Amino acid sequence: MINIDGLSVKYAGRKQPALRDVTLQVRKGETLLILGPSGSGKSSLALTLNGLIPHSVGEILSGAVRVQGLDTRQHPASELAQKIGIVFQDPDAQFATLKVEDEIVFGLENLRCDPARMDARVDQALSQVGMAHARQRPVYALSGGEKQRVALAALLAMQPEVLVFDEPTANLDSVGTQQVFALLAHLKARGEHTLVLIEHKLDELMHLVDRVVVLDTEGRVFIQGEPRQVFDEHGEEMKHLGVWMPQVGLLAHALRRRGVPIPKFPITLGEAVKVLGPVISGPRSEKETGVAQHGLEPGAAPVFEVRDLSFSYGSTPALHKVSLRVAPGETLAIVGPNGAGKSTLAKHLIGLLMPPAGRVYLQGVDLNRIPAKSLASQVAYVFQNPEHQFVTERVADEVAFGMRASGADEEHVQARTAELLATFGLARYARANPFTLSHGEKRRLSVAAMLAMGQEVLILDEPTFGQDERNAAALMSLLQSLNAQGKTIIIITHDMRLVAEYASNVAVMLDGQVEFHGRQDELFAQPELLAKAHLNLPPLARLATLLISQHPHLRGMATVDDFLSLSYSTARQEKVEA
Amino acid sequence: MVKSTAAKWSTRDLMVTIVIGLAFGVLLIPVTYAYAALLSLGILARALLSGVYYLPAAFSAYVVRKPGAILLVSLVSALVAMPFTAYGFIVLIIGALTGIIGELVIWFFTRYRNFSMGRMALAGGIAGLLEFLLILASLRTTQFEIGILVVALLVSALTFMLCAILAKVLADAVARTGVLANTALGRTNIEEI
Amino acid sequence: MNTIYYQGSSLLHRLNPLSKFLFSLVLFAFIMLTTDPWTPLAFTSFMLILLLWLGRLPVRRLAKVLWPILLIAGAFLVFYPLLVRHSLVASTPLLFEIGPLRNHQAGLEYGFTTALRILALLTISLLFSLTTDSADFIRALVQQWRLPYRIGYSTLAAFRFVPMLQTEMAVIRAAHRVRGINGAHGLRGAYERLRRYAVPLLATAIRQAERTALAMDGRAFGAFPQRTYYRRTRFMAVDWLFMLGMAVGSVLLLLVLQALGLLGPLAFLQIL
Ligand SMILES: Nc1ncnc2c1ncn2[C@@H]1O[C@H](COP(=O)(O)OP(=O)(O)OP(=O)(O)O)[C@@H](O)[C@H]1O
Ligand SMILES: Nc1ncnc2c1ncn2[C@@H]1O[C@H](COP(=O)(O)OP(=O)(O)OP(=O)(O)O)[C@@H](O)[C@H]1O
Ligand SMILES: [Mg+2]
Ligand SMILES: [Mg+2]
Repeated sequence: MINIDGLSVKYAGRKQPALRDVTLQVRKGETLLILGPSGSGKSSLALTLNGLIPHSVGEILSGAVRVQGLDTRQHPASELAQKIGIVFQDPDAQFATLKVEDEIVFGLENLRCDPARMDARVDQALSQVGMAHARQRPVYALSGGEKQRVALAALLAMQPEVLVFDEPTANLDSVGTQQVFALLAHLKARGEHTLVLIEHKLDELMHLVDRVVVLDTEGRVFIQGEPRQVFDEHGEEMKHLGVWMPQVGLLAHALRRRGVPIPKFPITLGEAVKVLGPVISGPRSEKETGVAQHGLEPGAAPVFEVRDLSFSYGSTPALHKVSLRVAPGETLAIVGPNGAGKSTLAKHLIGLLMPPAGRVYLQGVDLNRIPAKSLASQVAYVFQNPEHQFVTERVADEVAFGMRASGADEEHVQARTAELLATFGLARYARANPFTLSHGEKRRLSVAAMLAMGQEVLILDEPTFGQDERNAAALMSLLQSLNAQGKTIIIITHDMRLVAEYASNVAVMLDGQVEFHGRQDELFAQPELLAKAHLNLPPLARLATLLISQHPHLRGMATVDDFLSLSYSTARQEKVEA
Repeated sequence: MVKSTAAKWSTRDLMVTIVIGLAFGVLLIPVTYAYAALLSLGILARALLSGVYYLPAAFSAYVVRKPGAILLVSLVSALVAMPFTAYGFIVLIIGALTGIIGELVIWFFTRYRNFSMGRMALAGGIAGLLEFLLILASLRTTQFEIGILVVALLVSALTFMLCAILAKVLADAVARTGVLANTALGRTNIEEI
Repeated sequence: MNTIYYQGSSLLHRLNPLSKFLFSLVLFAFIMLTTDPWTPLAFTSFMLILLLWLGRLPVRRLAKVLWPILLIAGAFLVFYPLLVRHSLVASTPLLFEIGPLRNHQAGLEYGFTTALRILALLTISLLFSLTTDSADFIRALVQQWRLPYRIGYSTLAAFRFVPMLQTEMAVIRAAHRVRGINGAHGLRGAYERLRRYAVPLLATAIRQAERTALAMDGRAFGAFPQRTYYRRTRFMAVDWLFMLGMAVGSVLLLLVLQALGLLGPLAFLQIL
């Protein structure tokens, strides 16, 4: 179907090629998963498939891509568009028009289709993605998941054989993600298309994948093959590269290291149930896992206390009688579907929206009475897009900015800046422009800049959004160490895996109300509440619920560490050895 | 003019150019209100602000370096501002005017090759003079005091010049973020990373 | 998006944007030539009646967009007389004098005429912008007036960014506030402030533009010199009728003004 042969690709303004000597086949009808750390060239590889590289961006240094024998360098992107379509990561950046119907016909019009034949194609494409009812809707009124479905329909109308999905769920909440995954499963089941996927929510997806290609940081093919074999034999190296793995795979590796026999390496939840069911022998050992240690001690004076806070944007209600107590030293995750009011609540905690008197207290003082400056020196807030917060042109100045503004003496500022840059692994970029950093580095810089004033409370909105495994883990362990120093951390997130790994407590928001506030394992034991709030259990928590009928003591478990705390029968292994 | 160059414009060039116009349109919506208010205070006050509309023009000229970019950007930023204000066609006419003048002066002073600060500023100053003279031609000039007219002319030239300089400095600041790597400006001072 | 456009399905809304554009433009040009206060006044009323009657615009909505316009016209009335050349008005009686500011009767008349003319020009613009969706306008320009489609459709695609950029502005403002930015002073401070907003805004916008351009290329945008259109915009009978009706109406209005002796001479080279 597609033949890539010794391909190297470079962008203008870059010294290093984005792809080096990539040789790869995409076979007709298969589902190929492309993995790799951030910046490894996954998206670039996708763009070479339909000729956008080299026709619209970048250049091919050597090698060639042939689609059904046609060299992409000699055939224009318009011709290839009828063979290969790409659904991109950002649902908002791939629309050209304002209405669903216009969007579907856009490609057909470009190809000079007969207008009389378009009507039927629109109907067909929209019903294939289950969006026939939305034909006349404006694009902006769709949810993220619906947007991705319409984007796919727009490609389907052009009847391509190969569909490429470049992180289609990265910008979606769990509802949207589920919609997209359901659609992928549906496409796979119909079997008409060859699918190329770039994704890192792997547990929900592995059952669809026929083959995996892993790129390394340099843009070379690191390994390719059948998924089970790749994850089984190269798990350690992939972890080292910073590539996402299915959680059940990570668990299997960890258990193996402990000597638990894993005869058939699991890559889906179903397989993991079969493998683990028989070998789990005992309950959780007494040792508590690291995260759940900071409970909400009844006596402790809360850092934040919210009492019956209500708020509306004009006529849109956003918060309804929210009450919440945040204990010092707690790591609290605030979760909930889009529009639940999470950001609105956070804005009230930092005075971006001023709460009425008597509603929000910081260290026992009414927030309403705290001057803005003093509030900024007590509470740090990291916005979703780190670029919004950059106010200078050098990384070091960025960190020093707050201190200088508050009139600290220069010697102190320099020393503290150097210290922070070192802590956050940014020392070698001290003179760089903040915008030129990678996504993960930008995020770390924005945290460093916010913490320069020594704030005790840190609020982060979607901190791991769009990051690879290694960056996300690096940031989270940084937050963990800050937490260990006694700082209170509040994270707004959609990523339940992150909640499972790092949060001691969780608050679930739904329709402007706090539906739940407590320890994470209590939350994971309440599937009805999770379903109501459109929250997905993280993969291992799902595994735990699947195994619960056999092993009731798995209640509330959600991480590899949780599972490692169980005892396992190694009987079978002994038998094998004997 | 647009037709002959359209072939050389990639979709990305077009989108980037238009979006520069949009971003300035959004940045300038508040200015549009002030502009209309100042309009009523007479040509002197108006001259103080008129240069602001040259900002997107000079910016795109410096970044895109293609004939047609200035006109496109000026029209787009006017089109963006138009539905947000009640001043409708007036905004559009001023946009078209600034765009045409901008195309002329930039072509004359830079030939799309030499974008030194001096040439940018000079082009801006002349654009200010021309714009004012054109506005003047559409006023009943005989009704105004000569002294006021001369001062307004100078103010107009000066603000245009200032905005030209501002546009260049701002474009360099944006270029340092790396997002302009694929534009003419990005390619000139290519520093591969 | 908080635009002027009033969503509706009235006759004015259903007209081809180009017929409204033509009519408004011709009238706009004509009003620019008038020198008496009565013609602009008559046409202002004409436009308002059209908006309320053919445009089905609620009076409240009209009032809401109209008051800033009235304010501007009022300001012209106040300030214009002060700028007028002294020798032109010196022969007419002095109305009042505050320090160096002298207001003669003729000056006030000039001001009055100018204010009404501005009012008329702005209401003509309103007729267009209150009832025309910008996207429809661009589509019609491409299909009927040969605007190159790559320019027109790129503009349409980019227009979707406007609300995003506005939100972006608000978020940047908030983000700066949280960082404790204090108001800067002087020219340098003004530049710093502009840079802090403009750089992230432009950076986001340009990246988004590049991504959208890729997505459009990936769907064969610009592949051929021409493209087909699922929905054609064209002049319908109602458009011709509208333009004819407006022409007849305008001429009748002018004849009435003439008969009443209110129509002044036309003058080229003037707006204000
Ligand atoms: N348009 C471009 N211009 C210049 N450099 C680019 C461009 N697009 C990507 N790059 C660079 O090429 C390299 C590969 O990027 P690419 O987007 O293909 O990686 P990726 O694996 O998709 O990463 P991510 O997981 O972050 O999406 C990176 O170093 C990136 O910065
Ligand atoms: N500036 C605003 N103006 C008007 N309504 C708003 C504004 N910001 C948020 N809303 C509305 O308030 C409600 C709560 O929004 P909020 O941003 O707090 O939700 P969220 O839980 O943070 O969602 P997300 O997960 O999408 O970030 C939503 O209905 C939203 O549409
Ligand atoms: Mg990518
Ligand atoms: Mg939010």
